[in-house]
Amino acid sequence: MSAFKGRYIAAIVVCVGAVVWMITNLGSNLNYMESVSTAVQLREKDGSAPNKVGGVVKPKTIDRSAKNGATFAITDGKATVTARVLDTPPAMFADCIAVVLADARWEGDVLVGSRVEVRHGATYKSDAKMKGAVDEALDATGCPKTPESSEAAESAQSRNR
Amino acid sequence: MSLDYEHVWGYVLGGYGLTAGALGSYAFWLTKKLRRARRSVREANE
Amino acid sequence: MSKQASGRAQTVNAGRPWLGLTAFAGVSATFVMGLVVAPKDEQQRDAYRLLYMHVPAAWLAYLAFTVTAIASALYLVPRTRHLRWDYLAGASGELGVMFTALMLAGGSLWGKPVWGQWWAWEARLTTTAILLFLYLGYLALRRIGGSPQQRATRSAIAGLIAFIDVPIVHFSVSWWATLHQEGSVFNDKMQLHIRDGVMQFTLLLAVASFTLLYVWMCMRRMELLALDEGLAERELQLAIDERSNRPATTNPVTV
Repeated sequence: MSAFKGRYIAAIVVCVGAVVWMITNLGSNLNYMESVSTAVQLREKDGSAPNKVGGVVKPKTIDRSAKNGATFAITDGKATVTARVLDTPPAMFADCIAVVLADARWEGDVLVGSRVEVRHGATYKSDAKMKGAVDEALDATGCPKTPESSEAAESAQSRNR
Repeated sequence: MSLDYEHVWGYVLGGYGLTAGALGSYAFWLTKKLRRARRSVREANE
Repeated sequence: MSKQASGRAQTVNAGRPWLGLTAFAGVSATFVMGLVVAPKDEQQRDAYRLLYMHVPAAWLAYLAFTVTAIASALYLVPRTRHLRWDYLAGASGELGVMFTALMLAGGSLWGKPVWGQWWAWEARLTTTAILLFLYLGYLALRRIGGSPQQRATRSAIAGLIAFIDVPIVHFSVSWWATLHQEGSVFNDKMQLHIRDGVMQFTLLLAVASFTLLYVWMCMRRMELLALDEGLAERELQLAIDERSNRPATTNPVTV
């Protein structure tokens, strides 16, 4: 086999391998996360938890007193549970922000995850103009309506229908 | 939110720099190759 | 230079420096607007400024691959078959790969400070990575030997097959629960989620100037593909003439 032909075969193998690898990863991640309600249902059923749990940080529940990570309440408007993240959360982690708790597992009634990922919204507003604007509608999560918080609440409701 | 966001400038400038670098390099390469090709065609046709 | 080649050179040169200068001026203005003039976002603060690089890159990746698909279809239809469609498909495909790579790299740089992750194996990001690999494969296929017509036919088929992933990438954020947010402009309700006038203007300027740059680069890349092919054909003809001891062909290089 010539070096030229060998290079082509190697390139094809690498490309096919990359695509197969991505598709298998995609298969398990078509839905990146499950709702808090689903996590609660799974705990009641067999004590398991989805790998990634999405929801909204319930206002005024963040406790950063631990050396690393934080404890907070995560909600989808239907179910609310206490969550503990072991790694330091990203800078945007705050009240009412939509988050994903990754590598989640139950430790008693507490949902423990290795890290938190922040799901920011697709809405952009100037910080200067929004100062003092507090009359925003709240949704079932107790936070101002955003596509992410509404999605968390809607997905919890549709799963419980 | 009162968290420190100063550190994001590295990422922002990285993104702008990457875009400028990629577009600038591609435009430069394209211009150079096109000039050479035009010259070659001119010489071949003379 | 032959009259034909001279006339063609004048035609392709006309207007292009003007187009290129306008595009580069627009992109430079986008940099100033995006980095300095546009206000901070209420939630993401300065991190959102990557929007002005990420959104035009995503838009142009979609546009470039759409142009590749249309040009590929036009080449495959016997009535419209012409190599210029193949050059357009190739040029646009190459630019699409560059903009997809920029979209992924810029998105990754945006994801780290905001999501807390460089990368996530979620539907939008993964289908976009697949898109990049599909079109890298398309560009590799274009480099495999054969006559220009053979290359054009197989590339056109590949260009149409690869395009299947474009709507999947776009609708992935609606079809599946993703870490990536929904579209800021082309979302389900077609509502503009950007609420500030300066932010809107900056994004519009970014999209318009990057699109002009794409048009300028695409025209030049098309011309380069055509010139390179004309030169290669002439070289081949000269080599054949030399081997068969015929006087060298003096036909002008045509594109």
